[in-house]
Formats: sequence, structure tokens, C-alpha cells
Amino acid sequence: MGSIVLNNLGKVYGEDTVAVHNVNLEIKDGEFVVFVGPSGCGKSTILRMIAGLEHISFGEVIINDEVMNNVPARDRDIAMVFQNYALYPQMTARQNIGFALEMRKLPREEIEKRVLETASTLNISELLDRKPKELSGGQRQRVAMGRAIIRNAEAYLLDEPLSNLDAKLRSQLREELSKLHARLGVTMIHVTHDQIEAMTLGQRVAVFSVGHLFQYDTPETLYKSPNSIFVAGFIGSPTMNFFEAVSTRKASELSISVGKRKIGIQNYQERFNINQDGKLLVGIRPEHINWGNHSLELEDGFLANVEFIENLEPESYVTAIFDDKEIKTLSSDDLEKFSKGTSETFSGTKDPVITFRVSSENLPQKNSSILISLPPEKLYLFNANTGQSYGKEIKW
Amino acid sequence: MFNFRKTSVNKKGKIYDRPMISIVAFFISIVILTPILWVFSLSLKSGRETLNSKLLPKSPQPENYVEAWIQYDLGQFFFNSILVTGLSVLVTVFVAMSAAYAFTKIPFKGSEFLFSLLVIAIIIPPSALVVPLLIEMKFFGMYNTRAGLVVLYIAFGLPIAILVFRGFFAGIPDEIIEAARLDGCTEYQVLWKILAPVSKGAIATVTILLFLANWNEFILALVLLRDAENFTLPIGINAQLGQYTSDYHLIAAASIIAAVPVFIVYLGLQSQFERGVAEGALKA
Repeated sequence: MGSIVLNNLGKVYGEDTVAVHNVNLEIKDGEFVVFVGPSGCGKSTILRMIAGLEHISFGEVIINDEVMNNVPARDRDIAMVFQNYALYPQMTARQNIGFALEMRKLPREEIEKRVLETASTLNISELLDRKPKELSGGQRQRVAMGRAIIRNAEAYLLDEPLSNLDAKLRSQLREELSKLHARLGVTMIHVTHDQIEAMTLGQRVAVFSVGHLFQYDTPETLYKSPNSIFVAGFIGSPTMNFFEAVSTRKASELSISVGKRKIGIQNYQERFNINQDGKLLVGIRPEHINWGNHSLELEDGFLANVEFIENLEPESYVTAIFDDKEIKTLSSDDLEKFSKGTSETFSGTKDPVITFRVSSENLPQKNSSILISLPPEKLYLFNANTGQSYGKEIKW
Repeated sequence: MFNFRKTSVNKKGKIYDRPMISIVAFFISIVILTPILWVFSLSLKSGRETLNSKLLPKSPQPENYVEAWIQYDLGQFFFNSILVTGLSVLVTVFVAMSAAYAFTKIPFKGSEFLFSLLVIAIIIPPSALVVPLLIEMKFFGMYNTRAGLVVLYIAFGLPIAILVFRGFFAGIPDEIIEAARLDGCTEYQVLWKILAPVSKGAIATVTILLFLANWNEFILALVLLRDAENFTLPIGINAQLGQYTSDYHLIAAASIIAAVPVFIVYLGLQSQFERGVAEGALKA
């Protein structure tokens, strides 16, 4: 088992295409870390640099206090599971799993013993004499896992190993992977673009976009204290709602104008580092929004019209449009701009729209007028230019 | 309702669906087979009958084969041919696989340029280089040696062999190679333990192509070999043609004997070869 440190790690393709920018990150011995981010964010490239499959343009990969930059892949003692499994087609499952031990010249009996142990751990004992083409996707995935875990490697790298499986099998294997890590206690890095996978598997999660590491923390902290609008928007489903707003400080109260209405945050200094008045971005998660029928009185309520209901059990997603057209809500294109760093202007959505999560037993009527309230204690505030959170860092 | 009968009729009738192709194939096979059958018939004729234009010999004389073998000392030529062809094919396949592996799976500067040079080498016919090669071989002290011929066959076989292997290796996912490296393989182990077993089709294809070319090669052998003890079969048999008289029936028998190993190699590798062609081993 081993600890891994990435020190200013970077990757440049060709003359000036920077795929990974100065990533600094530490993975403790025995930790399960997930790299998550949209496609092309550089997460797999980083994994491949750790494995020794990709040349390191600058910075260092340190495994167990030893700089690995110039150590070939086969000498790094790293095991990896590939997205397409990469099983050796001419070998049976047994030979595939035992191959790494064979290369290390272990005695035949020892290899056989460990292959059987590994196969029993992964429930594939009866598949050992089959070749990869005779196995289903899930079975191949298990054999690929077996090929990795049979070794006592320093670290285990999993490059989107669940992405080719159907939803049910994926959730089953996610659980098994989690149990496997708990049992083996080895250092694991799992790469995925699926935030649910990241949140359920990772002890710590590193969120990447366009080659930058945005935040590296526990799933809970990422959800509750995102450090940027990109992380806030990426983590959580449905995604967080964002509005343009103007803030004014009055003693211990921060007054936030969203459209024609004002929301007051008391003792704002306890939660936010805001030193100036002016434009900012407000975020709120769909599960934190309160709603009521038009007739009900809600303090600081916003009038809105129910546009669309996505019926799920036991909770449904409701999309409504604010009556106040002065409210400007951010579109996914705007969030994309923030994923690349900063945004100067927002295109916004066509209508000011908000999505919230409600119990399916208590759904509003479609096209009905409702009142929506945004609880001040649940609001997130972000710098309108840089997308950085104004929230004080709270560890969860 | 499913109509099973209709499907089966279609399947059976398939061969009659393309009569033109069958007719053309039939005529092509006649054109190809006629000279072979003619030589085979000649090989069974008696010395007197050789100039008789009738296709079938009056009384077939299989002993011609034994006579040709002994009279022409075919054993020595046979040994030389097997040595030169076998060694050159073996080394070419080995080196070409290594080179193709490097060209497809190990990125290095100048890879594309080097490969273009190799492809250019395919276009140059060996016969165009006979004189400089003769001078070169003399310079290296390899004139009139079987080793010299082996070296030249390897040199002329490598470009096409690398081209075939490169096309085949390109279709093998990089992840398999990376997985092998992480499992502890050196580059040579990746090539021989992982790539070679899945490349049987390509190996069979290249072996057949090279074996055929080197076994029958004439010009280089004719120019570079002087003494009969080093002759390969094509040169050895050719040397039996006299200026005024020739035993054509014996030369025909010797030619048939010379063709046998090619058939054996092809039949032995046929299934792998066909799979190789289907898998695209001949696509660069």
C-alpha cells in the first residue's frame, strides 16, 4: 500500500495544448479517492501519469516518498482497471488474473491459490476457464478487477470501470467496490464522470474541469461547502439553481436583491467573507426550496408558474418560471464558462427558471401559480466574475 | 408467422445467385491450372515423349522424380533452399514484428518519416539493384555465400512484412499493451506474450508471402551465387538447362518437387492465413 502525492503536476500536448494545469493533491495510504469531472477535464490523463502510461510534462508524481517521474510503468507497482477492461483475449479468466504474478515469477501453486482466492472474493470461481469473449460485460469487469486486486500493489487505479455497464449492474458493483475497499484497505483512485459514483464511493473526491483541480475534499464538504460555482453546479442532482443578485451590507445583515424582492441574511459575517456591495451570484439547491400554494402566505415568497414536473418516486422535480421577469437565472452554458475559470457575461436562461425537489405525494398542479421561498440560511453566494464562493470554508 | 422455409431456400440458392462470378472464376482457374497440369504431365513423360504435344503421357513414369533427384543432386539444392528461405523468413518475421510494434505502440520522434522510407523501399524492385548489391556483397566478403543471400532476403522482405504487421497491430487496443506493462512486462514480453499469440493470422500471412517470394527468388540468387554447392532450387534447376539439349521431363519433375514445400507451408498455415486476411492483416 502506498501514499501518492501529486506535486504541481502538468501535461502539455504538442506545443501549447495544456491538458493538466499544476495539480497539487495528496492521497493517503489506504484512502479511496475519486477523480470526477466532465469529459476531457484531464482526470484520466492524471491517472495515466500516476500509472506511468503518460509522459509527465512538468511537476512530480511521488509514490511512498519516491519521485516516480522516470520510473517505467512496470516498476511502479501500480495495478489498473481499464474502462474497456483490456483483458488479454487469448487467455482464460484464470490466466488473465494470474498473469501479473506469473510475470513476477511466483511459484505455480502460489499463483493458483491466489487466483482461486481472488475469484471467490469476486464471485467468478465458475468462470475461470472461460475466455474474455465468452464473458458478459459485468463478468469481464470482475475479471479485470481480479487481475488488479490479486497483486499487492502500492495503489489501484480504476479508470471509469463501471461506465460500460447498465444502471442496475453499475449500482451493484459500486456497492461491491466499496465493500472491497473496506476489506482490503488499499489505496484506490477511481476516475468517473458520474457524480453519484463519486459521492457514494469516495472518501475524498477531487473535482476537475479543463485540467484544473477545483476542489478536493470529502463528499459532504463538496456538497455543503463548494468552493466555486463550478463545483456547486457539478455536485448534486438536479443541479443547483443560480441567480444574479445585488448585495448591500447593513451592519450584521446582508440584503440580497433578486429581481424585485429582497432576501436578508442575518449575521452574514459568520458564513460569508463579503467585503463589498454589488453584483454577485446566488445559488440554492433544489432540495432546499420551499413552496406553497398561491393562497398560502410565505415570507419573502416569489410568485412562479409551474412549467414542468418530472415524476419520480418518492421525490419529483418541479420546474417553475418566476413571474418577475427581472430575475436572471444562469444557464448551463454560463456554468460551462465558469468551468473554464471565469465568466464576464451571462447569457442567462430565456425565462427565469427554478427547479426544486418535492415529495411525490405533495405535488403542485402543472400550470398553477405557486409561491416559492428561498430560505436565507440555505443560500450560497459566489463572486460574479470569478465564480469563487464567498462562503467560509467549513469542514464537514 | 415466421417463414422459415423461405430463408432456407435463399441460403441454398445463394451459389446460383451470382452465375457471372462463378463463370469468371472457372476461366481464371483454367488459365492458372493449365501450365501446372502441363508441367505435371511433362514430368511423367519419357524422354522421347517430351516434344510430343499430347497432354497425357502414354505410360506415366513416376521414376522420373527419383532420377531427377539423384541426377541433379536436388538434395543439396533442397537443403540450401530450406536453409536460406527458412532462416530469412524466421529473422524477417521476428524483426518485422519488433519494428511494427515500435511503429504502432511506442511513440518516438521520426516514426512517421522512418516508416515512409520503408514504404518507399517496397516500390524498388530487387532486380534494379543487382549490380550495386553484387559489389556490396563482394566488399563484405559475402559473395557466393548463402548467408549473403539470407541477408538480402531479409532486407527485401522487411518493408512489406512491417507494413502487414503494422496494419494488424494498429487494430489491437493500446489498453491491452498498457495493462501488460502494468502487469510487469518488458516491451519484448508485451510483444511475445501478449501481441504474438493474438497475431497468429498476421504471422501466417507474412510467413506465406515471404516463403513464397524467397523460395522462388531467382535474380539475386543467380547473380550472387557462383558455386553449385550453394545453389538454391530455382538456380540449381535452371543450371540443368543445356545449351543444345535438355532433359525437359526431368526438369519438370524437379520443378514439381521444388513446388512441394510451398504447398505444404500454405496448407499448414491455411486456416490461420485465411483468418489473418479476414482480420485485415493485409490492410496497412
